[in-house]
Amino acid sequence: MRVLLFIFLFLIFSSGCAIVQPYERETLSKPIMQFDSDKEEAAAREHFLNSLEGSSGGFGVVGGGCGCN
Amino acid sequence: MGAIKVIMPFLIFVGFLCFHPGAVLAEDYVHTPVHYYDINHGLTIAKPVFSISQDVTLDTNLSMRFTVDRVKTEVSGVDAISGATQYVGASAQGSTDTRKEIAVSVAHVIGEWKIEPGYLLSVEHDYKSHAPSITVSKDFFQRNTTLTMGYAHNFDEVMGVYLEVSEDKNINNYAISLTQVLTSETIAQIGYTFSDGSGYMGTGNRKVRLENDQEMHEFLPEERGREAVGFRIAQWLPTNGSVQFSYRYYTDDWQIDSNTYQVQINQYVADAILVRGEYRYYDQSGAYFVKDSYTGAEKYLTSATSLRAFNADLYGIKLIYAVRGPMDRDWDWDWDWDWDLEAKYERYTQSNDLEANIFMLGIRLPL
Repeated sequence: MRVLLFIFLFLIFSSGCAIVQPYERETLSKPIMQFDSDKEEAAAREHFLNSLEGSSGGFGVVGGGCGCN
Repeated sequence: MGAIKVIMPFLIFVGFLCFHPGAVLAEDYVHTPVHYYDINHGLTIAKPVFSISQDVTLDTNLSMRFTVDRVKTEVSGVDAISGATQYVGASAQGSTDTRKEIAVSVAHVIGEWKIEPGYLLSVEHDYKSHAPSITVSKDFFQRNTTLTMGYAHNFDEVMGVYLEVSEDKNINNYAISLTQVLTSETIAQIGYTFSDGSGYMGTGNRKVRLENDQEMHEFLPEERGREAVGFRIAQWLPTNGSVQFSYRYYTDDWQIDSNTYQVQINQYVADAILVRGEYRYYDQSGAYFVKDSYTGAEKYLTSATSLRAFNADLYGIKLIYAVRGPMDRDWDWDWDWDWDLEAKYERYTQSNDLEANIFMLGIRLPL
């Protein structure tokens, strides 16, 4: 239920946005504006934290398991 | 055999995709970061990574990542039989252990669709994991909105030192996310993941010390459902930088609930130097069967610190130096320098008496 509410609020939030044209996206295309632009760093961090903490996920498909947790 | 039955259709699917026309894909690069983790209680991990991303056709990109974890622990097999508060490292064997991982994925664009099947294999002496996956993305509203869905299945085999025979673990992982361009300088994403696992959930490397000083094998539930929802937003800064915020709420049927807050600031301090500062706060409740001490009559027992209630902080700084310009003109080659040097330091502390210093050095070369 919380998830559905979250998605609903996000859709309401985003539906009010004007369309940004492709030629206006130079800033958005920069690596520092992208989520997990460094995939190798994101994978290493996820593996490290998943081995020490009881939770995982939120974004993306979870990777392979290991005997480290 | 189960893994092969899943992998073969993926390979056939990938073969089909490679001959299908489409659009241009992402950048090509080679990336070679080396991570080093220095964790208290005598655990160190050296983690070299080699990653390559290369377009193989105009609309198909192949990515491969090789990772080695060289785990060295001073914890002996006897010492690894922990009390509830003692940290147990990646291996109960003591000495060293090596984990090797290979991840392969093929991204293919068909109009506004992107399809990316992948496969991950992780092998260590007491654990093996096969994880085929597929991710599908679709752009909407002139690419202002992207919907991404993914599925992965883990075929894991646990072979810990205290197990007489290897045990299986299977996990279905589902993910969905929506990325939305809000303005020409702001982008946001919401994500939801769900996984249901069944089988042997422990490592086979832990025992639990009871109140009477006897030792027992760890027993965990054989089912686990986990879900998480996350939100993150990136905002461009007029100082030639950006700030990213993220929040994640996690819950599972072992009654672990967690909150994760993260802020990251990126700032160019010169044309060629990018500095990133980061802070992450994490807190979680403990699993319902975790206790400070066990009598041995309990159905489930564990000494895993990751299942206890705690909070954690992570601070980090990263520098990227972009090396650009012509090479020595005395050489015959007509090349320019065009690569990034990276260095990172992070400090991670848990209220569970765990501390880690994390170092990373890397080079990224465009192809």
